Parts: sequence; C-alpha cells; structure tokens
Amino acid sequence: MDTDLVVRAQNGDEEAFASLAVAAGDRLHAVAHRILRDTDLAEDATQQALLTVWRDLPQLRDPARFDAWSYRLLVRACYAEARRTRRWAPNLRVLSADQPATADGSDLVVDRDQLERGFRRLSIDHRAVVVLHHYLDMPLDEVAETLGVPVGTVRSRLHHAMRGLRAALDADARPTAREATR
Amino acid sequence: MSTDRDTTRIVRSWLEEGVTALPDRVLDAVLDQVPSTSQRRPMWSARRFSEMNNAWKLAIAAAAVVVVALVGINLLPGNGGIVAGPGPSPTPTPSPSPTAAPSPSPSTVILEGPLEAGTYTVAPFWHGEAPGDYTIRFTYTVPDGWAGIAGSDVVLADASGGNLPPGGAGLGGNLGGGLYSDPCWTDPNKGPTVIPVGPTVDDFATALVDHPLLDVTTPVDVTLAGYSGKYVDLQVPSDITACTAYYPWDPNIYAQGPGHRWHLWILDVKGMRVVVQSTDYPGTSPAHQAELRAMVDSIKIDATPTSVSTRSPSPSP
Repeated sequence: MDTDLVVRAQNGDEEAFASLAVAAGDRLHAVAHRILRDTDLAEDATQQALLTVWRDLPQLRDPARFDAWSYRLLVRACYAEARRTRRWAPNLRVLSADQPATADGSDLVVDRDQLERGFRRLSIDHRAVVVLHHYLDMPLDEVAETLGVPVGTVRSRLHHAMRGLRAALDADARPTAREATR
Repeated sequence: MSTDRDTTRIVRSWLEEGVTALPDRVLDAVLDQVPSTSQRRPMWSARRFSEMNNAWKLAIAAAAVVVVALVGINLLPGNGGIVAGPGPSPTPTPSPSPTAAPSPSPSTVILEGPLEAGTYTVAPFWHGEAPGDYTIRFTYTVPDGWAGIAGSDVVLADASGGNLPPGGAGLGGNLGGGLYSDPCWTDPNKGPTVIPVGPTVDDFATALVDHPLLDVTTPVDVTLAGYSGKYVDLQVPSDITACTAYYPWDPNIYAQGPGHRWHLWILDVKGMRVVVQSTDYPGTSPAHQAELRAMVDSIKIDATPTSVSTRSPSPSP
C-alpha cells in the first residue's frame, strides 16, 4: 500500500482515501466474503470496515501497517455482521461432524458442499484464522497481530478449525433434503 | 479419510473460489458517506517510544530543524499539527547536520519522539476543530524523560510505558463534547447514542457529573493560564475488559487502560470551551505525577483567529 496515500488520508484528504478504498476494497471484500460466506453480509461488512478505516485512520500510528490494520477492522466488521444476521437467519441446519462417511471424498463438488457446511459451523474467530492464514498466506504471528490475540490462540483456533473441516470432508454430508443456507 | 495435507490443499483451493471484486455501488456508498463522517483523532499513541529506532529519531530531529527554519521565516501553518513556539527567532540558525537534536529553546516545536527538557508549543487541535476558526496553542515546560506525540501532546518516554498502565502519564487537550450514553463500547464499529451537551464550561462539567456511568468528582472553580473554568477528575473503572474501548465523549481519547485517571481543566478561553487534560494511573510514580502537574502549572494558552495569524506575519522583535 502507498504509505503516502495513507498519510494524506490520515490528514483528511478525501481523494487520497478514495484511492485507498479503491485499492483496498477488493481484497477486503474478498476476505469478508470468505469469512461470512454471504454476498450481502460481506458487502455490508466491507462498507462498514472502509468507513471505519476513514474514521479511525488518524489513530494508525504506522502507515506501513495499513494493510494489517485494515484487515483487523474488517474482521471486527465481520463479527458485527455475523451477530446481526444471527437474529434473522435461524434456518441454518447444523450437521453433526460424526455423520457417516461420504462415498467419494475426492469429488470436488461434494468437497465444496461439505466444506461450506463445515466452515459455516465454525465461529467467526475460527473462520478468520483460516482465511487469513490459508487465503492471504499470512504467517501465524501476523494473524495473531492482526486479530489482536496471542499466537498460541491462533494456533489453537487453526488446529480446531482444520480438524473440523477435515471431519466435514470425511463425513457423508450429502443432504437428504433442501436446506436453507443462511 | 483425508490427511492433514489433503485437507489443507482442498481448503486452500476452495478459498480461492468465489467473488473478489467489490461492487461499485458499495464503494460509492462509502465515498458518499466520507464527507459527513468525522475522523476520530487519538490524543496520543499507545506506542512505546523505546521501540523507536535511531533512523526514525534522526528523521524526527531533521524534520524539527526544518520546521524551526520555517518558523524563522514566519511561515507558520494554520491550526493543528506541527507548530512553532510563541517567540520565533527572526534569525534562526538551524544546524545543517541531519543529526541535530531539537533545541530546548522556547522556539522548539513538538513533533514526535523523545524531548529534551525545555519549553515547547503544541497545537492540540486539528484544523477546523476549534470553534470560530481559532488557532489554539499550548506552551508548557517539559522536563527530561517525556516525548511528543503528533505535534499535540506529550507522554512519558521512559520505561513507564508512555501513556499506558500501570505507570504512564500524558498531557494534551480537547474541546469536550456530547457524551456517549455508555462509555464502555462493546461494538467496535458503532458507539452508543450520544447525549447532547451545550457549548459552555458549565454545560460540560454538569453533564460529566450527571452521567450515571461516569465516576467524576464534584466540579470546583479553577483558573489556569489566566482562564477561569471548572476542574474535575474522571476515573476510568479498574476493569474494562468487557469494553472494546472506553470512550466517554467524542472527539476525545479513549482510555488507555483500566484505572486511567483523567484530570480535566475545563476552561473558557475567549468564549471557547478548551479542556486541558492530564492523565495518569494509580501506579504512576509520585515523581512523574509531580512533573505532570508542573507542566500543567506552566501552561500558557494562545488563542488567535486563524484568519489573522495566516495573513499577518509575526512581528519581528
């Protein structure tokens, strides 16, 4: 990220912030979509995160840390959206991890379906760790710094999340009836 | 049965799928809201100055020299940010060396970083923040062991940890404002509702005392830097773990830690409400508390209409 743009935006330059938002918007939205697994919620979270970036940018002490800082704000926005949606999306069917094994674990379509279910069973805390580490390729210590938690906590969350996703892949998650996905 | 390696590969592949581009309408919605969304300025940083590297210190020193030179030719900036002292020398002689340290003379500016003992001037508010388009400056005497923050505040620069608990301390300014109905923010993205507060010293002091969730002492009459007003102490709770931020009013700082103590001189400066704010903790050493109080006692407040200061160069002695 262009630190000059960050500094200018910190000083209230709206055009500089617009350039920052254009540059950061896609990557923030991509992460939000992968954490929340919902287009509308991801757009809302990204919009909120970008506004928070503008509002709190003067508090960023090191402009070179803009990317990590913006991810942190985004994850917080994802928490907020997830809490908000919990009230109006009660139809998510939660599958048990110890259901019978699938017939063909190598089937990518089945994998996607199973992963989607398994991922949705994870908390936002766990999803964020998986996305930051496995999608953005962030090292675990950077994930810890971004989320503001100890690196041991990140390791624990990642282990738990990947174990859950592995269980989901190994389970026979083929639905017997149409399910609501939100 | 999947292996760990298979799971990682499949998960990574799966995460690569899906949307990435942010729709233009979302970006437009953000940019439409920016002009009406005020930026929130921290009064000071939580960064520990012991972490500053030498290159950064040298850059600060060099920048300070440049600003002193600018002061000497009467190119004072407007309100906010880096400003000069109250009596700029007409013939500044900044050292050409990039390693020169900021001079502790009365015309020294506060930038960011450790300060030598001396008298410094800060601009506690950003451009346009002060009412009536005024340029407001604080000038006070700083002992050794303190550091500047963003041209507006000072905090401890030694091992006490800046303005952080358990032993930190700091000095800055704010303007007061509407109080949040609950200072303990639990949603990091949206504060509680704001209780409107009138513009006067009494309005703000009374609102602080009347707030059911703020621990504030009874206001007492006070005079500081020749301006009258009210003095109160605000005590942040010793446990704020449930709060994502403890934020009594906006714009202002949020608590830097549990047990943070805010000492507020709420002053009427030429009809404007200006709050001098020193902060410490129960664990702040008596010596640092005494230094903090001495800085407050030494403070001078200058309030000049910005239109005057930008049009008229400072008179030469």
